Amino acid sequence: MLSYIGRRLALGLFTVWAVSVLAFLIIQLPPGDFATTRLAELAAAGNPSAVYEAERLRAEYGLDQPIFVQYFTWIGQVIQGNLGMSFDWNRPVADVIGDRLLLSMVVSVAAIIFTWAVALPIGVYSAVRRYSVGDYTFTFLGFLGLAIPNFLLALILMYLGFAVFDANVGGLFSPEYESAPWSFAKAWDLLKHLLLPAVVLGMTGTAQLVRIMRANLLDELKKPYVITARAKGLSERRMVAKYPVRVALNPFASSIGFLFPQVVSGAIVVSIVLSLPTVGPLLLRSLQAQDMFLAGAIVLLLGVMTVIGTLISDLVLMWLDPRIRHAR
Amino acid sequence: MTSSNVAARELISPPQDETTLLSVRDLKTHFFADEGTTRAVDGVSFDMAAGKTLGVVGETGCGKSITARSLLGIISPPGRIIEGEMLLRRDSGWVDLAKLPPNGPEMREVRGGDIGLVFQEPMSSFSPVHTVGAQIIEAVRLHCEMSKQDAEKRALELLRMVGIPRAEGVLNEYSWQLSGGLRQRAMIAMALAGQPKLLIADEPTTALDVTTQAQILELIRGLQRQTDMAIMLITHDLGVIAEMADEVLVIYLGRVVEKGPVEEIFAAPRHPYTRALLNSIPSAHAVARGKLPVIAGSVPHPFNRPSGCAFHPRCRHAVEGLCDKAEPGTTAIAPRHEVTCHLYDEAVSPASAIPVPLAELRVAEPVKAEITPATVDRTDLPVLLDVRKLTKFFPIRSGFLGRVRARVRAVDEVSFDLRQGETLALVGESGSGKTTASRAILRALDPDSGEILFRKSGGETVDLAKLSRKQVRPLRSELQMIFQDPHSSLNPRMTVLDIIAEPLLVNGVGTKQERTERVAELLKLVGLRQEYMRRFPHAFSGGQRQRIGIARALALNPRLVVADEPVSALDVSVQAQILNLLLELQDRLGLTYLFVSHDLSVVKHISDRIAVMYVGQVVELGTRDEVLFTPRHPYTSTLLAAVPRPDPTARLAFSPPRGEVADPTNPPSGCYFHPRCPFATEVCRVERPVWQEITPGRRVRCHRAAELDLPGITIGQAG
Amino acid sequence: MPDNATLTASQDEERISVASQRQLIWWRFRKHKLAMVGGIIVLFFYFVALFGDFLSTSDPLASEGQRSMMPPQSVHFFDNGSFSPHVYAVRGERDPITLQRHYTVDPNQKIPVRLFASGYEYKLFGLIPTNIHLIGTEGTRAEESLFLFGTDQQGRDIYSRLIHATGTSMFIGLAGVALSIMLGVVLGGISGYYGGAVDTVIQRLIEILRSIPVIPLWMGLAAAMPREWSVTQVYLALTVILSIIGWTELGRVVRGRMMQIRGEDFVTAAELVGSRPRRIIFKHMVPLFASHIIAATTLALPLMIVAETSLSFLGLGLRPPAISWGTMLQQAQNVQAVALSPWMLLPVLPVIVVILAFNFLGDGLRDAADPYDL
Repeated sequence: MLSYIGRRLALGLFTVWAVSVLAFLIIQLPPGDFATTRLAELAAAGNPSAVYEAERLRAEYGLDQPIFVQYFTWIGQVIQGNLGMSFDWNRPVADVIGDRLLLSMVVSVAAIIFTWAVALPIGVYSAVRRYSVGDYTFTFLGFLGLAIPNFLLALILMYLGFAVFDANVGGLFSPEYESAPWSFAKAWDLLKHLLLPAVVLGMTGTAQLVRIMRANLLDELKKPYVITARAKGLSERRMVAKYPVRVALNPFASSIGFLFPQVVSGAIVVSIVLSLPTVGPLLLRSLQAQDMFLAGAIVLLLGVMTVIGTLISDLVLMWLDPRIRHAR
Repeated sequence: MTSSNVAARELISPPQDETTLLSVRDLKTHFFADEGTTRAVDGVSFDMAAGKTLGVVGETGCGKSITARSLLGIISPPGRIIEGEMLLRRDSGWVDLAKLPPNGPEMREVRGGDIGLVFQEPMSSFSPVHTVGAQIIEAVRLHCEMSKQDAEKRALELLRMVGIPRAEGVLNEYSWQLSGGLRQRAMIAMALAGQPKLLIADEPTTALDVTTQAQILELIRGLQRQTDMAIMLITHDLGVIAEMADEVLVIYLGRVVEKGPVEEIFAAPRHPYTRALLNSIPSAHAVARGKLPVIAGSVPHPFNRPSGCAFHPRCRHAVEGLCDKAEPGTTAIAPRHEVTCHLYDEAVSPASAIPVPLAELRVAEPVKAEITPATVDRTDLPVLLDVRKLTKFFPIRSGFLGRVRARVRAVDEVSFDLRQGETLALVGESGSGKTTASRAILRALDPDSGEILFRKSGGETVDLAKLSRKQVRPLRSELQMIFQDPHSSLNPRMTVLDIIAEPLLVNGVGTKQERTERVAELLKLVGLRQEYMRRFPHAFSGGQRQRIGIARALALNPRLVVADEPVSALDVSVQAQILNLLLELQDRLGLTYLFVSHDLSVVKHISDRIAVMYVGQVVELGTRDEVLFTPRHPYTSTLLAAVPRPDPTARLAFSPPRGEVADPTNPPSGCYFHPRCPFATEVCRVERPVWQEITPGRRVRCHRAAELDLPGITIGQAG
Repeated sequence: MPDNATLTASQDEERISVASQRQLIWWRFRKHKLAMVGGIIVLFFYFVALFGDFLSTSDPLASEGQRSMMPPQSVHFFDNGSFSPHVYAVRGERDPITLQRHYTVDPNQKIPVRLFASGYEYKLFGLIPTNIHLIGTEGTRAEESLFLFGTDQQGRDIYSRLIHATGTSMFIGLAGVALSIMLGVVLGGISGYYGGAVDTVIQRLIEILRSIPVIPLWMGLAAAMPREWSVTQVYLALTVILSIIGWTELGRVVRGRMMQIRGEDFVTAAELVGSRPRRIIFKHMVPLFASHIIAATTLALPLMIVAETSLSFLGLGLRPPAISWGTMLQQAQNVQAVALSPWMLLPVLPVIVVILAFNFLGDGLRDAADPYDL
């Protein structure tokens, strides 16, 4: 069991490292170092302290050093909690991101919860009532869910909301709470606004999970232990719920591993379409403005979040599956 | 009581016989699909009595398991019981199970409460995510009103009853943490939870090793004595039937062809199918290398059930115009002995016609000392293969970077020799390393150490173990292999022609025309028609595929053929066909066989010499008669005792070995067999026995080989 | 001794017996109605992609402020009872207060529509210069009079742009997948064939890549492309970016299949009769997983198409003047604009239809490909 946790942790750390390298690459990729970019910008704005500022940046990030030294300087800063300055906003990156990261998480987790809550019963139903009208309906809906990219779904819903209800269905807060401090009322308002993004984001995953659950359960229903349980005298309903569904839950739970990165990914584009106050629109703006520290930080933070989410799902899986718990 | 339950009780004319527990009459269970209807069970009738065991025999796909599941009402769609009665005597009176709603409360009481089920795959018969205890406790509480604590106590009792040591521990373990034998014991404990009056055991020992099988059969017999249960034992193994059954039901394509008391069925079988089945068991003919009588062809899919008597295309007594047209009726031969065959129908043939002289059935006659040492003395033949201290360990990797945590000692200093033209059988239970050893010899695996000295056709000797894979390649034409699984061994994308011609092609033999001619010749040799050449493997039955595999192995005129369990995936009747073929080919082509098998009855039939393996080591080597009749290693003796014999008059009290086969990753100290050996002494616990030669050509790995006098099979038993 | 169970093989059985694995797959695939429909739709899209200019009515880049945001025209097939397809001419004027353009249809001025009309000059397959188009107008330039799906803000014909976008989006998917296949097959194959340490390393790499959220990465990498790059360069770079991350699924499939096939006895048998590794790989192993690769590819294609569409939609992928479904949808980012001219959302349709079609096709192929399911 410990070896399993250790393995997952090691892999998580590895992934974080890989993401940090990629994030650094993103910061580094634009031509010229960012001090030069900044220098040009400041000089164009007629700022006399430009040269001084550029020199300070060069020294702080060791820009005249070899690239791997630069990487270690940068990652050293990041570990100490210094994510750098956003040139576009002219404020520390941490300030700019603010509670947007938290909101990103909230949206992603809401999507996952929606996915689970919907996919589990439908998957079980489709497997148990295979080839019924309901099964065919859900299968067809599932295909649609897979086929509609979530940002297009968001776009269509935005349009419908606007054309039919003449209301803006985007955003996470009503206007009166947008800049209000956190309170119970604001959290409640957030919850009300969460449904739409959760549905939009969870659609693809739900379709995938229904298919996974259906296929798993169909496999499990053929297993001898189902016959054993029936032969014991269990009623069909109790038997299905207690044995095959329980066993089919394991691969279902492990699907978070791929679902979570997918939802976090999707949340970026969907947030932009639905103008949610998450890191999505911020990332897009920073990339358009070549505000590389901000962009790099967001990519890194999203990566770390995903790794944490995946780790949690691994632990859940371990709790669910005794075969993993007892593995040497 | 619901109205359907009333229906289940009405219109019943219960059997008058006091002892009858279950009476099945004309049961038909069919499967409905778009392509048509499969009549899996098509008119089966039988009675069962308390305290008695009914053996149900038949080859794959004959409807044995479907019959059992019909009794429990757990046929899954598209299958349905369409006709028949299944009368069960419950405490509350007679009930027709066929009329009970399959998911109603009364049927659920019957399941587990009146009828318990144990079946083949103990691994997957338990849920992998619930503890064994939880599953047994659930079964207990379903049928007896009980508190959780009481149910747990009862579960413990059950586990102890089936002979599970440290039952408290097992209660909290998962099925995959148990060994195969323990798992099957736990399964039986669960089946007994509701104190059923009838236990259905569907191939309960097929997945187990022969020594474990002996333990489980012994257990089932003991339980029956204790509880007076009726047992329905479904199996394809006639040895198990002879050992266990009181009455026998022979099923062919969903119909009972013969039923009767076990002694009569084995001594005087009437139906041609029963006779043929009994005849094709190798051990019924202990005459080594004798040709086995066979049944032609194989069991067709029930979907393509032949008209008239379903057995007629394979029956050598079939009467044209009768057997292929009319369905035979049932004739009573003796009070409890019935046969369904035209040959016994008085309207068709003269009264009580027995068209075949029973003399050709050895089992029907008192056994005479026919087990002559039929083996030719081959000690003067040159040694073809000399294996010395061959070793192969498999690492077990785990963790993030896959470090080696343990090693499976698959082949552990194995030595033996093989003379030209003889058959050496490598015998052992699962995990004994016999397959690994055979593959290492052919260099399908790279051995860790040891020598494999092979005498090439030119007369010089090479050490195969020292050669690189590339250097082995030119020698491939002399060494070939026949595989166990006829499905995995043929590439589904190639035609039979391409498959058999491949050895010729890659070794640059002949032109395309010549190769095609050679393939035709090989097909004829293995008994297949050459028109089959353009077909793909999926068009063939298991036995036919095995013939194709043999043809491929023979394409290059090899001198040594390794046959890895070549018949264990096949039905008994087909098994006999393939064994005959192998023997015939050996005589014709002068082949040398290394025959790997777990099945002693097959080995008895085909081998000249036998090497017995246990946990990666060869523990005994000698001629066939030496090993079978005067074994010198306690393990060999145990193994021989554990094989059920197809003769109900020769039932022996089992002396099943204790415990389980040792774990090859962590074998016991000293002699690997000592924890299970009844003769073990202190030295066996400490010191590893050496591979000693006790008489010329006879070797044993046992400290006490010289002093022990062990039983082998005796002449009386061999029948 | 001969098996006579199959002696009485009927003609049908005979046909199945000599059927190759490929024929069996085809027979099984044909039973899959949805997959067949999916296949036909996919073929249709590639047909449109190949004959883009021929199927267009107007030059997709011809813009004209005077006719921006024109609604779709309806085609009338009969004129006074006789078959004579035509559209009505449209006049536009600007609302002096809201500054929006309003279009009125003039039913008196009929513009005949006919097949194989001449229009703008183009080169068929980039080789044969011609000006024949499937549909066109007579007597007037199509650019000025025929707007089957309306126009966008710059007054460009949405129908023609959609046709051209189909080409771009379908082929960028193909290019990306081709690259993914190469990476997936090579790395997955190495991983599966050799096993051991190489396998461990490649497996960890796949696991890491799969646990990274891809869109932010794609966005970051795509945004780092220099602004001065040409459309072609951006196009190539984009396929590389998409496939660097997209190969993992294929790699996994190939590895799993490779390992499974390696364990089959017939591979050992081939080795034991003296076949060389190359023959074993290409004669015995590749044909067995080729069908699986085709199925996996079919399922990977729509993912590529979505990826391109979303990046271009965000303005980080292809950039104007390149035309793809994504760049066309970029104009639909503004909800107000969409509310006024909903035809801007039209590119959503082909995206959904083609993804659906690929999924049906891929599913059918995957189900049909399993050779042991007999």
